[in-house]
Amino acid sequence: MAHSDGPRRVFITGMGVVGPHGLGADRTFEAVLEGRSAVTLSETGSDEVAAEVLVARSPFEAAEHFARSERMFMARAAAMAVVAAEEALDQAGLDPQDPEAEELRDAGTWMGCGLGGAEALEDGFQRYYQRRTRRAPPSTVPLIMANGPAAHLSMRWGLQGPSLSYSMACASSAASLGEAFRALRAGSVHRALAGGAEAMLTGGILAAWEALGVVARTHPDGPEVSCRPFDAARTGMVLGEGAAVFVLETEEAMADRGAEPLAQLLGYGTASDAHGLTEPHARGQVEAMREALADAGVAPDEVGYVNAHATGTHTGDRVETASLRQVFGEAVGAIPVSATKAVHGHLVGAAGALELLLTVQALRHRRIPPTAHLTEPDEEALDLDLVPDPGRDAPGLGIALSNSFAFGGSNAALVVGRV
Amino acid sequence: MESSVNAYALIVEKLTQDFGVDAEAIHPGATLSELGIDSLSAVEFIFELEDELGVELDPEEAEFETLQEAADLLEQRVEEKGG
Repeated sequence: MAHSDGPRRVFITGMGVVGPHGLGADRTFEAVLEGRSAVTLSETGSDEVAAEVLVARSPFEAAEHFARSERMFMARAAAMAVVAAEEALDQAGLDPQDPEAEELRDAGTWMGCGLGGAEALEDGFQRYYQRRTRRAPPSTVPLIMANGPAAHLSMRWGLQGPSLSYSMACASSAASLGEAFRALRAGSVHRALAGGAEAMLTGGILAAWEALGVVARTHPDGPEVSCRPFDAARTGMVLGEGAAVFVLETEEAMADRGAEPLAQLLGYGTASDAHGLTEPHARGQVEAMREALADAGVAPDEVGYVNAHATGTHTGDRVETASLRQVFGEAVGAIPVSATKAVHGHLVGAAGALELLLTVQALRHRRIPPTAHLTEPDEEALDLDLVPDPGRDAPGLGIALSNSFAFGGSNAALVVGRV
Repeated sequence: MESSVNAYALIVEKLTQDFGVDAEAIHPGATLSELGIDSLSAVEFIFELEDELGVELDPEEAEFETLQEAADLLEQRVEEKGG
């Protein structure tokens, strides 16, 4: 493989998703464009501790894709990651049925995951504390571990490059994509599967999220419109689940096999708030966005769309508003900003990957998805162009930014360009 | 020894239904590794058999090579437990 000196250009050649709107990047983008919400009020827990919680659950059934012998050691998050990767590989022109594809031999795996196999963790606790037995299935540890999704991708397709997992809550998969981007650009690896997976909608874990006081209350107009980022009537976030995976390639690797790019990854920035565990601070967010733009060599006024982190919490959306104003200055009102979590919820470790996928779709289809359910914008966000329903055509859209800001203060921003 | 359970039949059922093993490859003298069951799957396999039969094999005694030996061990535990 012939390489020029200096940093390589990095392209997305395939992408796939399993999420609250089901399987498929096109189907998901279509639902998000239509402002079709996947948020429902779902019964969780056992008889004694039953509750109805707002969630954006995926219709994904692992049993439809994998035999029991495979599922035994594959947590829901990992199973979603494998199916999302199959779509990504197929789109990239790499055969997902070929476990020994030569093109993937030296490729790496970069995946984000906040928690790992939540259902195995909860089952383990139930056995120990409720059924009072020390007998745990031997599969428990391999199911729980947060690098399960990365491990399964690497094993399934024989990727022998780095297999790395990033766990920074809501910024996990933006970071995994950004770190993969850096490795490809530096030339240490030429091809990668990168993204994120998360599936933690179990009774005990949902109860823990509710305890934080960040989960939305059901809106009078129905559960489906309860996640309302940037809206004055927002009451919180809604947890979702899913996986989104990309095939990333250097320009040279892509050319070697005659592949076509979907978009170019242009820049990545990451910085910490160094402030609070759950309270965000503008300084880390601003630094991450500025670093990503500088990394891409893009001026703020060249950005044609921002997919905001915007989870729908009171504080989170306000801090991001302030951060956007700092980064884009007086021109902030000229840049369309939308919050797609209104319809797909917060996928935590898969959020950044899903939202980058939607951002790439926006570039490809020249259409900006809406901030659904936005009826009365927050008084502090009145100067932002928040793209209310039904979204809008953007024929000149060339460069977009996707934000991911995490509990713990980790922030990651990705800049992506049309090809 | 007549047992109240047929552990070998249970082993065959579990291997074919849950562990994806081809029924034609299974015979009493086969070992788990011959059937493509790796070490992690093997411990899960034993765990599930123990759970279904309500017995536990002492790890130091649970040494077996063939499926028949595993079946014999399990049936012995069921007998001892009064099954």
